[in-house]
Amino acid sequence: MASTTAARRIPGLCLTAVLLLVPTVLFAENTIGAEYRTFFGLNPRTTVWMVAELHLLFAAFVLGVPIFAVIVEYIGTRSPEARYDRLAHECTALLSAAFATTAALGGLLAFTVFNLYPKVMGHLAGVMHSSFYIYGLLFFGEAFTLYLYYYSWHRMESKVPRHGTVMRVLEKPAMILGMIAIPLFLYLFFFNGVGAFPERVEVVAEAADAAKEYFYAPAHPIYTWFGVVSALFIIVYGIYAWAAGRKSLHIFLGVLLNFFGLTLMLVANSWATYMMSPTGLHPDSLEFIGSTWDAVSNTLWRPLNLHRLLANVVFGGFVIGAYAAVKMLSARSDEARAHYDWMGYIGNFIGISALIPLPFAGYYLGREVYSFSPIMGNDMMGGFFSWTFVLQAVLIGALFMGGNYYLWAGMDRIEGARRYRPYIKFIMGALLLSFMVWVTPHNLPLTPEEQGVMGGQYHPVLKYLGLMPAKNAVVNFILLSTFFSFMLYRRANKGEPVAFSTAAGTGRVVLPVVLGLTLTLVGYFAWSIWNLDPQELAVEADKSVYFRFHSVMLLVHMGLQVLAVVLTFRDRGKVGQAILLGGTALIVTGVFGVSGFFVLEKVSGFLRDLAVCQVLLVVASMVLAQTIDILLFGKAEVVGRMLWGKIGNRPQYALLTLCISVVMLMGLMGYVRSGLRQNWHIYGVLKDTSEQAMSPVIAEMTMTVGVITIIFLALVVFVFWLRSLGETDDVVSEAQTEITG
Amino acid sequence: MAPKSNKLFISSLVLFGGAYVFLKLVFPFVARIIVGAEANLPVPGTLFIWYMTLITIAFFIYLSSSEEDLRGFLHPVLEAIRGRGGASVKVFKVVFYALPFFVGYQIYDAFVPRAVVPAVTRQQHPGMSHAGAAPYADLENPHRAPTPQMLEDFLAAYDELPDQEGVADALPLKVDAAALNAAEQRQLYSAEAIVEGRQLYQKNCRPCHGTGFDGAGPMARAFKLRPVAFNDPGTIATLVENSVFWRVSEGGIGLPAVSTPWDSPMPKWKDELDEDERWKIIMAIYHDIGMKPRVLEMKVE
Repeated sequence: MASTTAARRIPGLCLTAVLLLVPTVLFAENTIGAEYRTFFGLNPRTTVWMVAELHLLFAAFVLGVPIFAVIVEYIGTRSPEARYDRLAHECTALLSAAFATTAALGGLLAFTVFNLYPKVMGHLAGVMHSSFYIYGLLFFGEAFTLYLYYYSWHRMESKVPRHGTVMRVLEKPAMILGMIAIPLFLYLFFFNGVGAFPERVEVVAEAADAAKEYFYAPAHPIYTWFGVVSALFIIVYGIYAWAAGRKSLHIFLGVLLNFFGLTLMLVANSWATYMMSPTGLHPDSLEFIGSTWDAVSNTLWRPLNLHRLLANVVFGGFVIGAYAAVKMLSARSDEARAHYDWMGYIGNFIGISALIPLPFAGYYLGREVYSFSPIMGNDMMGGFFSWTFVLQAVLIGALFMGGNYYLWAGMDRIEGARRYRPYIKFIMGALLLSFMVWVTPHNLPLTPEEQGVMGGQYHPVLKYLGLMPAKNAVVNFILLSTFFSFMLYRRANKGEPVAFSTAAGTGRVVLPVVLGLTLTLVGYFAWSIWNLDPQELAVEADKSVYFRFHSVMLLVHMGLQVLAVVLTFRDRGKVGQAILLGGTALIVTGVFGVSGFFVLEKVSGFLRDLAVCQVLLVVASMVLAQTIDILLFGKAEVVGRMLWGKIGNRPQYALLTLCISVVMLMGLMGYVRSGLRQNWHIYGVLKDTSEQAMSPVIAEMTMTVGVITIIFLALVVFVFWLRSLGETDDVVSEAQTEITG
Repeated sequence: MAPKSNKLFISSLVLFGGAYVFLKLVFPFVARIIVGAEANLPVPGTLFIWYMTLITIAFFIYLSSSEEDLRGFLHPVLEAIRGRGGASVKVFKVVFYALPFFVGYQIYDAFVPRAVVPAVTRQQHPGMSHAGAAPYADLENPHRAPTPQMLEDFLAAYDELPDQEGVADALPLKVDAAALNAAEQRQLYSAEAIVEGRQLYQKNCRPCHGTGFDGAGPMARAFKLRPVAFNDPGTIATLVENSVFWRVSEGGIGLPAVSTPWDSPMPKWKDELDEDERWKIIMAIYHDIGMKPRVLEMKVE
């Protein structure tokens, strides 16, 4: 009895304890004017770290998913099948559920950083204040368009034009404006847009005592022109979409949603990158003398924008894939299994497609980190953070292996796919060898005995695998192997290709045009490295032989491209593809993998150009091989059915693994990006003098990222469950069990 | 359709065992041949575990990515468990009886006390953001682009300099410096700096780092941590010059904590040589191995 009485007292005791805690929390310390505060006695850095990462993970989902939702919706308008539209709608439903959590976490993040790091935020607010207002306003745009996009879905399904004449008149202008505005947007904000660098700082006067007056040159006028063109584009496209019917207007809403989302991301990225590579400062006194735009347009802003854009799509794809996997595993009907099986496939397809260019964007970001500060660059790749890149290799390995596994296992659902199975072991072998090279560090953990045998801290042979040329070679090999898996999957249920010479139709025009593009791309770079001045890299004139060798290899590849197309025209397209992809693998991995070591030794400044050579060849051969593939197999005879839903459970667990890996990867790389500042809040300007100024050891980092991953996934499960409460079973009624194509 | 053959199981086993044998025995031997070492060069233990883990995962991924192949792989195992399949039953009996002993031995092996020195991770390129490196963060080699004043002083003193072997890389011995144009004067300055650096290298650095910059000087074998071989493209060619200057100046004792254990016997050269001498040595090393220090990309652009 006594224990029961005691048990009854527990709630009361708890309540009393909480009430007693309230005053200690509210009046604990007078911290007005403090540089740092703590979060109820907890470590402020870990608090901000966790809240920021959780906010970023949700934000990545909320920004990544609309990009492909609107594309899938557009594909749906062109396709007789209803499943595309349904998929886009389902993704948007998840978005609307996740959006409020993103906003709540954003609010929490703002409160924590302003409260815990008042001095830092004081500096940032002083520099960035006008961008804070823009961010707030954009948030309204994002929220309104998102809910409008979601809730008006079924009301805006009609494809009947409202005003045929207006539609016809505005179709071309809208398209032309879009073709100007969108590439310009990408160039100015995702690549090195004009006038982006802190070299814009100019000296006004130089007095005799060497005191100098500096000012920042105004932004390049192209930014104003971009504003005009993009505003015009939105207006003209909006009117066109209105005239073209409700569905078009709905897609326009989706485009607007992406516009707001992307711009929000650009603004937030500028805060993060300003802290890493601050600009707008007086070179001597480090006082801020520029405008907000000078601070926004810092060295790392554009590369981070590009990297995050792609990473968000990867992230969105894999989270959607995991959602579909859970739904499929718990589905009770064949229709639902078929639908979610297909949705999982699409999620994986989107994730892997965006993952393929991601290493290039990462290389670009890393290069710019090195450009801004070689100290930071060296800490990243060779110093304190180098082991995190071994962890990164493991996680990216898990993503590529998981993605490929899902495709191979997915072939079980395709009748006729068995004939391609023999190739899989070779792809697996290529991936395995590549990852073995990728995870090999330059500087190994060794026992003293091993050190004794090797006569030093490097293995005399394996040390080469730890250097950049080896890594670049295998990364490209992984991409090519994954692309090959995709090709096999696509043609799994197809018979012999159509005879190109007789049945190509528009392909006879399309293929040469694509060839022209890839030749121009590779040819331009071949020409520019042929003419590269050795003095630019501060090397002797005779070193130009290194540039020219690579230029010639690019020319050889151009020959392979032409050969592949000629063979396609002569109905030997498969041979052409084999020569193109095999040749690319040989040049990019075999030749450039080896020549990279000579470049590293003799003209290390050329290494970055070599990496670009590799990227260009891989991209060009993928584009060309894919075009040939579509033309050959698009209309080829279908020899087997695609049995959606008729697949084991293991691939679904692969989708879940992909999702978990990508969350951990983002957590890890988020830590690296932010941690690179080490003991600086704002690199080189504002020092971290708090107790937590040191960089956490890897064990602490992995534990924090692990906890973040668990909290994030738990929140996602909760939020998606909330969403399912209002779910009417709109998914399965019309789904087909057998969907071919 | 149940598969009938044991082919997949046996070929997987052979391939897996082959990979193990290759990494354990073949590769160390091949590596020895390649570099002409005295003994086999085994794959370091940590890396060996990583490689075998990856290979194991790859096998599971491959085999389980097709229902048919997975059934094919498991066929002989399941058949033997069910008591069918003749010879394979005997093989599996042996395996099943041996398994507990094998696991037992592994556990014994893992727990038996041994005197093993722990593995060491040492950071080869400590970053320059440590407090000790701060004074070196923004330095540049003054002799690569001498100021007009430096050039003037050099030319004034040039006639007093003795004739030097090696200055003749580009110019005749003992030229009339006054008659040269500005670019040639700078070239002469740089050639002289390299010659001086080379002599200082011979006196101070060669005993450990070797005449051929290969880390194999007469003293090198005495150290547990062997001196760096500059002619290895993975060493100083990957560093910016002020990072090398920092390492030379502060030596092994000035290494930051992340690069412990401090078993590098490199002296703190700032106590022995003046700044100019250290820069000139670095310049001479890069010149003589035919490599360039890493250049800041922003400067290139």
